Amino acid sequence: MEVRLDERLATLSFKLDPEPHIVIRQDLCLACVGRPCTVVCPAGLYEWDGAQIVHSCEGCLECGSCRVICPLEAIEWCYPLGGYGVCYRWG
Amino acid sequence: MPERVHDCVVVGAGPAGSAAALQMARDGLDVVLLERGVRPGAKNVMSGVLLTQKLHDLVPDFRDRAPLQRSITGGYETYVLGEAEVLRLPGIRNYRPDRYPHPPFTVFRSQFDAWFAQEAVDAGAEMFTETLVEDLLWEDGRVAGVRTRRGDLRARIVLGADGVNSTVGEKSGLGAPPLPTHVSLIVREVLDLPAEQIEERFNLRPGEGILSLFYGQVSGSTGQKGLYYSELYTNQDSLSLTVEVPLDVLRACGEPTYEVLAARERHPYIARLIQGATLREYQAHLIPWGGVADLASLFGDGVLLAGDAGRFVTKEGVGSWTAMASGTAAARAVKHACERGDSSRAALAVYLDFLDQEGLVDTQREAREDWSDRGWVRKVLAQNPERLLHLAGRYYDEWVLGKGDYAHSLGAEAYHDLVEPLAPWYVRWPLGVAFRLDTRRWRKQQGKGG
Repeated sequence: MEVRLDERLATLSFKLDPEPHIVIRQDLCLACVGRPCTVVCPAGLYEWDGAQIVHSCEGCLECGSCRVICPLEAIEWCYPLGGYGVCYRWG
Repeated sequence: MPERVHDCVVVGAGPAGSAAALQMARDGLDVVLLERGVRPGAKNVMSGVLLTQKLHDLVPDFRDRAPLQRSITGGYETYVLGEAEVLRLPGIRNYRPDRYPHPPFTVFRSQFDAWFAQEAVDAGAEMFTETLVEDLLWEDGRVAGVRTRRGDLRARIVLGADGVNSTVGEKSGLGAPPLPTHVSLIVREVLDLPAEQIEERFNLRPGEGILSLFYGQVSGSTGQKGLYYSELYTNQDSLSLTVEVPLDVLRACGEPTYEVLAARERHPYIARLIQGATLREYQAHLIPWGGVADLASLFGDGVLLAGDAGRFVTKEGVGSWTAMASGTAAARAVKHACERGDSSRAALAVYLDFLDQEGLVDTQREAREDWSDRGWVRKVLAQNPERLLHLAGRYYDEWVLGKGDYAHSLGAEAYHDLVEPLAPWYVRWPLGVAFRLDTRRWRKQQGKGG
């Protein structure tokens, strides 16, 4: 059994919040060392493309790891609106 | 019409919030339970098993009514994982049901939390799902309710049972976002496997389950090593496989948890256990260390924290019964405050007494102490998993193959690897002399044999 991350995320149902619940201050990311958000996110939603962090709220598992690990507090994080976001059927 | 003021608004319908709402409703209080998911449990992930003593206190006939998966009757098994080997640590499997009248159970939180919240509703609590608390209402410097997109709710006391990323905790000023050293990230996958195959493969009867704990060291892309825990346990017709790691270790090691999860699936020992199973769902959740000091207080003027929001987790990392117990204690404190018509911080300090009655003051202190030294046994495992595997492998090699090209005796190696770095001097000195002599004896013996 070999399952890729996008196949793992495809097992989940999401209802995307029209207002993004995660906002990144890209100016701070330029100065960041290591960019640990790219490692800790269990959905692999953070990627550094050489100039900025590429991020999408779709697929967010709402664990909050990125907010905890961000050394510069550049991630403005809140929960998606009630009823939106990930919905675990077998949590 | 004057605005209605509830006795208590409980934020979050997990085990802590629902236990609190259930207790308050039974005590005749006007309580509202808020949940941001489409149903209670939709945002939660069970990591491990549900310990049920506290649940039994609250709902004595839960075994007939709650959506449970399998009872973990026989204790759990612990393993150290190597590249292609596995060391099973001593443990006991118990088959006397009378010894554990309330055994732990595996559950799906999406089912269990929905059932438990419904118990509170049936007892008289009001519940609103799909309702996110975005801010607190304040009045004369005290918390007076919550703000949601569906309107404001006023209450004498707000109980924050909204998990590790607690909005109530942070907006009230009682807590701050946790530090990376104080939380672990857990990823989990649920794997479909027919019930008969599970029972055959794990040597179980219908309804019985197992829990296995794996310690495994991971070499990350940064060159640093980190210890990642895994658990494998049985549901009715599925298996759950987890990977758990403190966030600071994850950052230092640089190996994403889903990569480690995939590597664990490929490990020969685990691969045999999950063979033929197919992926049902992938999940992630953050869990706090118990009792750590990133909270200023558990109570303030008109506000209390329970469950993960109050960092109620035992040193073993168990948070389900502590959530229910802290929710019950909070409910008693709310009742106490409402009877006296005083919801100030001073009146709510009685929460600590009720927590003590539930035994939570002790578990929190133990968890905090365990965090500061991270436990002796865990230290040995954390620092030396590959040495443990080496020693066990060497013991087996010598026994089966009679190989002996080592510089020291097995006992001396075990002493150097495991005891010397951690033990105090009065243990080190006599043992050091003993194992020096042991190595001399062993070398002589090797010389004779060869």
